[in-house]
Amino acid sequence: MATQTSSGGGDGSGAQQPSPPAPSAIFIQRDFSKGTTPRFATTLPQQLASKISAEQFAHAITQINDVFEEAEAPSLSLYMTNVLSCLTGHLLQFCVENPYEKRFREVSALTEQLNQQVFGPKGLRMVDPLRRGLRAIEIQVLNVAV
Amino acid sequence: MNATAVSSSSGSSSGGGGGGIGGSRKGTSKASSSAPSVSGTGNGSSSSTKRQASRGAGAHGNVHDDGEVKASHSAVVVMPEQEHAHPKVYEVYTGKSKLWCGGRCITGDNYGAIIFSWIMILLASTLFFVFTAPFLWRDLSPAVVIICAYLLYTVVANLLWAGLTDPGICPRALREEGDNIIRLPHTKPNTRPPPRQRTAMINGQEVQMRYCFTCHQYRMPRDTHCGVTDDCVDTVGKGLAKHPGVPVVVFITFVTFFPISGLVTFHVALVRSAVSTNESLKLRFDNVESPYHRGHPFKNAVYTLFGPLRPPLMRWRELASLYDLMHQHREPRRKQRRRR
Repeated sequence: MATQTSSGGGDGSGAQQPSPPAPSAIFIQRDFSKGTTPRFATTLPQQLASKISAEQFAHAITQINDVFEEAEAPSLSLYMTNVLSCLTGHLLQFCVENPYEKRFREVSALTEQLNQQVFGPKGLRMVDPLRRGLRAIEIQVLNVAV
Repeated sequence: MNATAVSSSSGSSSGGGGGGIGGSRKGTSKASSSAPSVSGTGNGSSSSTKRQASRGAGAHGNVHDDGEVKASHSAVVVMPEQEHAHPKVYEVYTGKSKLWCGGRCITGDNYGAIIFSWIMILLASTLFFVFTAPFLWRDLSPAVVIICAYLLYTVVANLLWAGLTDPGICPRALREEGDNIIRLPHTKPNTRPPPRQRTAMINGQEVQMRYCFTCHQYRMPRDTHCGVTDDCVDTVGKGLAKHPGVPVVVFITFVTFFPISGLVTFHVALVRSAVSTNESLKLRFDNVESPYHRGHPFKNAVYTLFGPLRPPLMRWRELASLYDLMHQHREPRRKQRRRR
């Protein structure tokens, strides 16, 4: 997996080690400007500037944000399910899966896909935000020459 | 995902917190090639501190680089597993909550209140169904008794639900994640305490996020550190217990009206104005509108009561190695306490 990661000289060339060492992982922070729905900042951190273009990065993060936004959007069917769940004393929860769980899986799949298509080829690796409790998206700098 | 496991190059399956499941297995297999895996597990704590140091300082830790790469190709090799080689999240959990039934149920560590509640509910309802219900059934209408039975059922179901499910615990972060977030590029890790607060702008309104020294993170805007669980918890998910409507209504019918009515009114007002109980008690949005307001009190109420419910962020029954929680039970807790 990411076993190639190193803590220093993140860009794979030992020659650059004397310059400010790139951290092995960069944490993309939550963006709370629109409330507590999980959103992550789409601005490219400086440490990654040499690795990936700002647009590409923003596009990737936005894709993740969109899934969460959809997950927390109110919908009539969800309201109906939850009302029913209330009336049955939450028994319904054993029969019907929380749609939010599906979104979690969607995010995991999306992370995989982004890793393969966007981050992987650049020597980066994105960690499923759920692995960090939706606090941050960890982007790891792999120490592998690509 | 496994930067942490890796940067330490320790490759120990239980010490390398960052390892995903595959990662930790690889770690083990690698350990088998370079060092006996037992030692890898044994000095888990030391390796994790080493990991912190090397990673935090952004130092050069890639001694085993080639070995690691090779190991990732021979990932199939799995060492014979020791006990707890692959613990679940609930097994390495360090907070004060108690986990039951293999991580399916969670309670606090103080049972007095909940036992008292159960006794009161069961006592009152037993008395009602033994002495009063037969007369109501015969003289008034069976419907009354049936409705009461349903209400009792919802009370029991809701109390079980409220008492046994995850209150919205936020997973603790690795120490170095906290360091990474708060560290300026030129500072060394752990050399000075992080700024206590950070400001988030939420819908144009400033909200303070405090740094939590136990959980190594800035508490999310609606979270608070709970003394009962010793974790940061979401005050909205269950703090203002999700779907409070049913139990509250039931209690009115069931117990007496007056002691509860105040609480009901209070919480209806809170739900309408999109403020959690906790925020209200701390006067967070005393003179201003809550930044979480959805435009209309009714919308707030419906969204709070029946809107999407975020599943627990602690994935109790999944492998701890996936969630970077492995090292935590190795960190001396007294030290943490003092820092807080």
